[in-house]
Amino acid sequence: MTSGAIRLRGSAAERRGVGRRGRLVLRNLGALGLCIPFVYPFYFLIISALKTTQNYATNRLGLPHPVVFSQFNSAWRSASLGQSLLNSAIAAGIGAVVTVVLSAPAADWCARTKSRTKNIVLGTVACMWMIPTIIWVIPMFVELSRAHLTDNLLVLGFIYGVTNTPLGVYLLYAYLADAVSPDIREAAIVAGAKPRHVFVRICLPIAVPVLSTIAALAFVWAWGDVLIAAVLLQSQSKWTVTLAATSFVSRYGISIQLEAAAAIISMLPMIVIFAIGQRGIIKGLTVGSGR
Amino acid sequence: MGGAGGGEAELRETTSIGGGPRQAMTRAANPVGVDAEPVSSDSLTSTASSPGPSRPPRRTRWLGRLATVPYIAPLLISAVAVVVAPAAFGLSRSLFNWQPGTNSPFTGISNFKLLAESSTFHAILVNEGYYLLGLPIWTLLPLLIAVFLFTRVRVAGLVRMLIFLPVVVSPALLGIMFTPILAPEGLVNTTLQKTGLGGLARPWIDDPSLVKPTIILVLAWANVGLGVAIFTAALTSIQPDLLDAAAVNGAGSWQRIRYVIVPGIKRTLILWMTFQALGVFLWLFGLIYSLTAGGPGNSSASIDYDVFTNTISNGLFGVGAAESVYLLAMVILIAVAAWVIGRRWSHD
Amino acid sequence: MRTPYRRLMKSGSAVLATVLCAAAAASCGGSSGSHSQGHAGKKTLVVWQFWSGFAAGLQPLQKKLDAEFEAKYPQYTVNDVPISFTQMGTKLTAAIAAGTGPNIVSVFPGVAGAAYRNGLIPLQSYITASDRKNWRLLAEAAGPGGSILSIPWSEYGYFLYYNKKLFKKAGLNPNVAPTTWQQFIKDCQVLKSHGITALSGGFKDGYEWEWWAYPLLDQLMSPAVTKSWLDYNYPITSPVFQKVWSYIKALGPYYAKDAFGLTLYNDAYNNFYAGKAAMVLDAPLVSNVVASQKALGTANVGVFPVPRLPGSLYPPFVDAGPNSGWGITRWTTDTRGAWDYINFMEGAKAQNLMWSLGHIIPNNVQSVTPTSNPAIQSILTAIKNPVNHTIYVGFPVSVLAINERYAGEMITGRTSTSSVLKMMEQLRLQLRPKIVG
Repeated sequence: MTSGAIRLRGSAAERRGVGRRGRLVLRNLGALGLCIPFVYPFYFLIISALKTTQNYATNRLGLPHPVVFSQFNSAWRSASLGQSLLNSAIAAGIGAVVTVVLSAPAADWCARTKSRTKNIVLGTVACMWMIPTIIWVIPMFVELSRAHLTDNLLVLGFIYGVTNTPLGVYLLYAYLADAVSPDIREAAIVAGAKPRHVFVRICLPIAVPVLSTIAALAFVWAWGDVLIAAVLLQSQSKWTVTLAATSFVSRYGISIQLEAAAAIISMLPMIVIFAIGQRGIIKGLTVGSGR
Repeated sequence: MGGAGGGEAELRETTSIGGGPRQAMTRAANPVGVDAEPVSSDSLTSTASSPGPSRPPRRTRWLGRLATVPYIAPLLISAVAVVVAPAAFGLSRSLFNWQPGTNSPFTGISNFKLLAESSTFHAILVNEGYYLLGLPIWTLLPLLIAVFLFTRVRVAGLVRMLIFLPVVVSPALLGIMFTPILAPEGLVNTTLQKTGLGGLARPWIDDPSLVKPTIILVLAWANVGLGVAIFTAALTSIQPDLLDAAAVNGAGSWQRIRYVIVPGIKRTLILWMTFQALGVFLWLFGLIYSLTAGGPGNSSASIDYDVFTNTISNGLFGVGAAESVYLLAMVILIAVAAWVIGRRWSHD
Repeated sequence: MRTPYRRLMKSGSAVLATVLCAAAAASCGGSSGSHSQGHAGKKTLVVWQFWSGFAAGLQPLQKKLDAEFEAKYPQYTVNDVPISFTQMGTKLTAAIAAGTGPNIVSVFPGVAGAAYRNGLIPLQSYITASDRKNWRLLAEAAGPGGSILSIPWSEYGYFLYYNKKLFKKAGLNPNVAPTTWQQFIKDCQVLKSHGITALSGGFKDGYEWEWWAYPLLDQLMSPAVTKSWLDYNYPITSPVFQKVWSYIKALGPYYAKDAFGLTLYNDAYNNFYAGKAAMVLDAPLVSNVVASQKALGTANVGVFPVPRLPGSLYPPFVDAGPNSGWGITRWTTDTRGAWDYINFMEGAKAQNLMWSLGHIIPNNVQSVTPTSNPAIQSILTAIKNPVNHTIYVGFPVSVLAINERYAGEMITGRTSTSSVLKMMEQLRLQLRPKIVG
């Protein structure tokens, strides 16, 4: 992503006579310094989890000495975090796919329609966002248990997919409305294409970065959910990792370090995915909402 | 396929993705209101439409309507089945002493009255008002960072990525992360003591007068990355010439921000602020649950957290449902206010 | 198809296929409930319990007990699901709403359990005469109206541990612990004047306040008042509560200055083990006695019951009573099996294991609690006092939650005790239809 090179001529530093190179270095250092408060808490979490209890009590800020993995071991074993990582991957993965599959056609339709039904669609989608989860999750749980569909990761994933469609519809609708102008659509229609051809062959390819962003964000939000998973999942073998990690926080509190270890384990996949795909994700966001 | 392929290639070229100068000019020339509607011609849902004002015959119109179904039906049906219908049912229970699974007698508006007279509910409304005061920080901080990174900073990409990291943390884990940081002997206070600023050490989340500002800052930390990404995108749509012109005419950085940048990204700003404002009412639950549990006392509780308290902890489902109705009303109010303000502002 | 799109389709469908396969595999079994069948025609009993989260090492004990049960009753398989106490409320509520869930569930006796009465079977008719003789905590297990929804499983009692070295340092006789409240306060003052924090505790999680409240309320509530309270007929705004809340507030100066930001779990214990404060209030978890002795040296740790208030209506006793217990859900298809499980857990064999492996004080009078540790022995002896009783079972959990949230506010004086008691009473009244009917 190129940073638009906007020149700030006549700035105070220039007037002072500081060399341009000096200012550049200063600015870059300043920018890196800006990152510190955003990265430090992660660093602190990690070193806390790698310390012995004694070490943590006496030396809060320093590096772990010695480095121990006992907290991670404990957290991994007692909450079956390995299985729950897989469960989260399944539920969040299905959620991401479902979000894209449900919202893409609807967003395309909204982008090319002016009919009143559009307001119904957008309104329904907005409604989903505006109602606190706790209010619909219990009645929905009742529905599901009548159909014997509770404690089921597929169903959980589907629900995640549905609840994240507002994000998909909004981002994609805004993007397609801009990127695929009505003239293009008209031209395609004149050339003999049907709307579904326009959707599949023009809109979708263009929207790939936005779609990836939608999928990634939907995945992240599904991964981080606790409430819906807590209500819907019964067996411990089905628990998602965030649910398992937060289950440590019982009435009779436990060690901060154990919680930290569990938190890191549950966050790690997100951070890894993000580190790999961050360029695409941020690009998709900026592309999708730049106006 | 071949002919269409050639046509497609042509189309791809003319449809630029992102902030090309041509796109920017089009956007700058067509400022739109908060609810974007594609500027121009009519619905192309009828499959066999011919350009022109004549309406297609009835049969084609129905076929056209039918064609829309596969696009929106899956979404609508899923949304209604999973969220909207259960939510409507849940909200309707506000008129009952709702005890899921057993006898739930009708109680009329008594749940609503109970809340309206409850000092706890009043305190929570005050909390919400207080949290809204975070809007300037949640908007200005990412905006200023985005502008700063936009100006010849080579490491901008790396910085944006690192700042985006907190966005990946789910709200429940955010609380777990910040508990040891904000504890009386936690990271912040220990650092202050070690650097000789021990006098500044405070019980950040255990003092009712400090807990809300602290939460506002934690939320800022968590959301800045997203804001920077979104504002950066918006900044690309401002014509560089405008900023250059302003600089040549002697405008300082602040004036450039106020008179060129802010108007240029009006719509994004409005959308961002709307979502932050909505977030204050709808998405604080996870963080509060894991960081302060609404405490000390009720000084950090949000409405959606209180809905959870009433519903699950107290088992007063009807009261929780009534509180959700109040909450929905407030959310609609904010959305409408944002829309009105947005309209007015963009038409200046 | 355009290249990027085709690539997306390929990888997308591959991902989708993998995910669906994995999901299908993982979802085998569908909803778990009392209907699910175990292996080889065995019947499965699903148990939701939170007690194994109370301390480290209890989860293996739970597993051992389940294994012993399965050995004795080979027709059953136990599906044990440990759930944190805070999540249990959510899950049990959802289960009651749907009418499906576990067979057996951890639940506190008295009013706390009555909050879930819509999902639990009254168990009075299952209890035999010999059960009543053996399970001595049953006497305090009933909720309002006499319904027993939870069979108490283990016992607790409130005691204070003190650091003899710190007592000596302040000039107090390390072998004499205070028995009256006046002596206790005086000792706290002496410790404080020597720069020693008298009481190790924290009010952030709020339990410290209620742990004082129970033993003090016990002393000042007559049997008639106690009965009225347990029947849900006695207001929290009554003078006896106001008085006890004032007593607790008066303890404020004897805690560390930042106690409002410290937690009972685990700052209070850690500070006591580290020798930073002279006394700590505990509801043993006898394992905490052992930990104290390990940290401070066995000769340095003393144990004494909560001191006697002036105006106490009883001879000296200990607030002791039923800890969490077991309940049977309404939708269970196998009531017999569920009762067999509870019977087993209450039996001498299981209860002996609880003591030997987890230091959990048993309910069954026929179980043995061998120990060579004099401090632990003194606790066990004190607990057997027939005058012992408790009133904690009269508190709804969510009413206590209000007190917990405001504990720090009350100890620092930022919120008055009477306003908190008022809030608690308000909720208590709102919950009446749910708990009593």
